[in-house]
This record gives sequence, C-alpha cells and structure tokens, in this order.
Amino acid sequence: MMKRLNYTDEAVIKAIREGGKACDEVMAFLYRRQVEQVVAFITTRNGSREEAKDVFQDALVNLLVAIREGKFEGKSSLNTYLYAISKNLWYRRFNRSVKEDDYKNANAGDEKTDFTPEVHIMDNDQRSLVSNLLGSLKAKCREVLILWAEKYSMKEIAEELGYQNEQVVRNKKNHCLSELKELVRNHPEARTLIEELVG
Amino acid sequence: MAKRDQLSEQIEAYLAGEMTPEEKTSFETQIRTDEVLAAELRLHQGTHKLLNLYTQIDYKEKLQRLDVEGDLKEKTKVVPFATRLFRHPVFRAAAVILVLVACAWTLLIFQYDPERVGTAQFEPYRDVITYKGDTSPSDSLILAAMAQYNRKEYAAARETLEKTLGQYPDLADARFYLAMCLLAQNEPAEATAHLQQLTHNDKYGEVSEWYLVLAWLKAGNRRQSLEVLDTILSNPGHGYREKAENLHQKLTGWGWRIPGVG
Repeated sequence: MMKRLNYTDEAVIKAIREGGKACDEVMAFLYRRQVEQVVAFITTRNGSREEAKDVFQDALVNLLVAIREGKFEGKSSLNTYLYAISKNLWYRRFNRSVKEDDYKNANAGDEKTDFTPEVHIMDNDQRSLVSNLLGSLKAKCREVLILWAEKYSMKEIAEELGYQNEQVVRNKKNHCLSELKELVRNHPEARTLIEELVG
Repeated sequence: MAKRDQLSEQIEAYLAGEMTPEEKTSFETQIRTDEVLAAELRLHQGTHKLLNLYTQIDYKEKLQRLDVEGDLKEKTKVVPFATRLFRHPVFRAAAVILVLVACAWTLLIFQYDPERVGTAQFEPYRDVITYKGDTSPSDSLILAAMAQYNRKEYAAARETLEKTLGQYPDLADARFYLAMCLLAQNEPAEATAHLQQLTHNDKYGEVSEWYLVLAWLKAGNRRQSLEVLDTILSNPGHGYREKAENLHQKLTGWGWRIPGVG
C-alpha cells in the first residue's frame, strides 16, 4: 500500500497519541518535512548540520512527550511549535554564551507557542539508570517491551519481531515485564525513580 | 494463563480504564485491603512509566537511523561513480590533469553558488495592500508597516509586521510582507517558516511558493528549492511557471554537477 505523503496536524497528533507504527511514520514525516528548515536556521548561526539535526530530533521527542502528556494545546501549528522549540533548544544548548538580551531579541516577534518546559524529558542520570535496567534484559525482551511501551498492538509486534501470533507476544510481554519489575524491585535507585514517577 | 500474568493483565486493564464499573469497584476494594496488591500496582505503574521514559531514547535513535539512511541514499548516488572513476589506471593518470582543470573550474564555481543565484533573483514583492483603503482594525498597523516597506526600511517594517502578527496571527498580508522583510535582511531560514504557512493561501499561495524557492536558495539549499520548483512546474496554470522554468534550467545545468557546487 502507498504510504501517505502528507499528514494534517490533526492526523499527526492522533497518530502520536495512538502510538504504534503510525506514530513512527508521522515522526519520520515531520522529520523529513522540517529538518532542513532547522538546519538552515542553525547553520547560519555558526552551528553544524549535525548539531542542527540533533536539536531537531530532540525537538520532535519533546513534541511527542508534550502530546502524550496532554500538554500540547494546539495553539500553534506543529510547524511553528517545532521551529520554536528547536530555536529554544539551540540557544540553550549550543549558544549559552549568548546574553539574555540577545536571546530575547532573537526571539522577539515569534508567534505565541505552547512550548512547555514542564514536559518530562529525561535528565542524564535517569537516562543512564533506565538504559542500564533495560540493558540487563535479553535483547528480545527489551524489544518487545519497548514496542509495547510505544503502543504497538500485539499484532504489530508479532509482525515486527517475527512471532507466530498475538498470544505468543502477549505471553512474552508478560514474562519480560515481570523480569523488569523484579529488576526494579531489587534496585534502590530505580525504586526511588519509580516513586517519583508515580507520585 | 499463569496467575502472575492474570494479575498483570488485570492491573493493566485497571490502569487503562478498561474495566467495567463493577470490576473497577471490586478491584479498588481489593487494593484498599491488600497491601501486597497495592504495592504491586504501584510497581507495575512505575515500571510502565519508566518504560515510557525509555521510549524517548528509542524514538531519538529511530530518528537518527532515519537520518543515516537518508545520508546513505545520498552517498550511494555519488560514491560508486567516484570509486569507479579513480580506480581505473587511465583515470589515475588523468587525475593530474583534472587537478589543473579543477583549479580553472573553481573560478567558475562561484557562478553556481545557490545563495548568489537566490539573491540575484530576489526582488521584494510590490506593495499590493496600501491602495485597498479598508478600515479593519489591523489597517493602521499594516499601513504603517507598508509605508516603511515602501521606503525600504525593512528592519523597521519587520518590527511593525511582527507586532501586527502578534495581534492578528491569521493576517496573511502581514505574514507575507514579514517574509519579504526577512529575505531583504538576509534571514532566509526565518522567511521559509512564514512562507510555508502561506502556500495554500488564496491570495498569496502562488507568490509564496515562488519566494519560498528563492528563500531556500538564499539559505544555500538548492535541493529544497528544486522541490518547490517542481511543485510550481506541476501546475500548468501557475502564475510563476515561466520564471520557474528559467530558474529550473539554471539550477540543473552542467555546472551544478561540479563537485562541491550547490
């Protein structure tokens, strides 16, 4: 079947909320649609293409989290939102020497966006802790759990990882989730993080 | 199904809000009275949230892979040709001559600089607003901006137009002339963001596509520029078709194939 070449903002938001393969497709669509715009912005400000791509990838993850946490209110188009986040990330990460006034001037006239710094993006410590925990599982277990967390359906996981049917995937997922819970139970820092997350 | 799996699925159904009201009430009563179950629920919920955090890493890796795949595709277009060329003994000998020729070519390369081409083609669009004499609330701001625009005071016009857009975000007139000011001030990346939002606008759609071509060129991105040109050329009735054809010829001439050009 032909892949859709274009998505409306509403279709993108719906796919991100629902997750699964459709979410991967719209993320790829958003990346291809706008990466060059951010590259143009950053490379004309002494940044490299690689830095620009890294910033835009982070901006997309930020958008995904904002949508899933219900913090994207749709006051601006996705294009505008992503561009604003990319600019913010760029000024914060690679241009820390820029004075506050310059930063404000550079952003003057930007449209109002619902950029939300409160979106929960992992810090480095959390990243390393979560990576270590997941890294302790067998590769297949890790893959099943990640796809499940990314809201792939059991059918999609079976197709993606070559399992016989959905029930096999469901059993595998339950087994792997139990293993991960056991790892968390025996890991004090993981338990603390979980308490923070559950609140 | 193992008892452990059954409990796990019961917890998931509860967290996903998939239980019937009766099942939910019964389950919540159990949680209140069974500390082990309550702890298991928290652990399950927390582990799921932890997995959700990990997806941030995974989604970023997917985007990076997408990028690498894109780069590889680009490279496969060029590398095999270059490899074949320089592995052949005859071409190795000719390499010396090529170096000399390349020196001469570098003198030509500047002609094929996208930014230079974009700048040469760019002329700020004429004022099509001032004559209207409308009396909408946005008029005083936009008319002030257009007076500055007509005096070529692009920095001042930009500021006024940004203020106008702040108050009237849907005002296509302001967005379009703001893009013109940004192009005139050599801020093509910013200009593309505004022009892209106007390509479906009844009044500014076609002209925005044309200026988007020039904006990408001024930003040094010939590939994006050609993509928009293709869109223009695919529309037989497009008002900028002739200009687009001429520019397309310029942008696809032999000179662009010189290594390092474009």
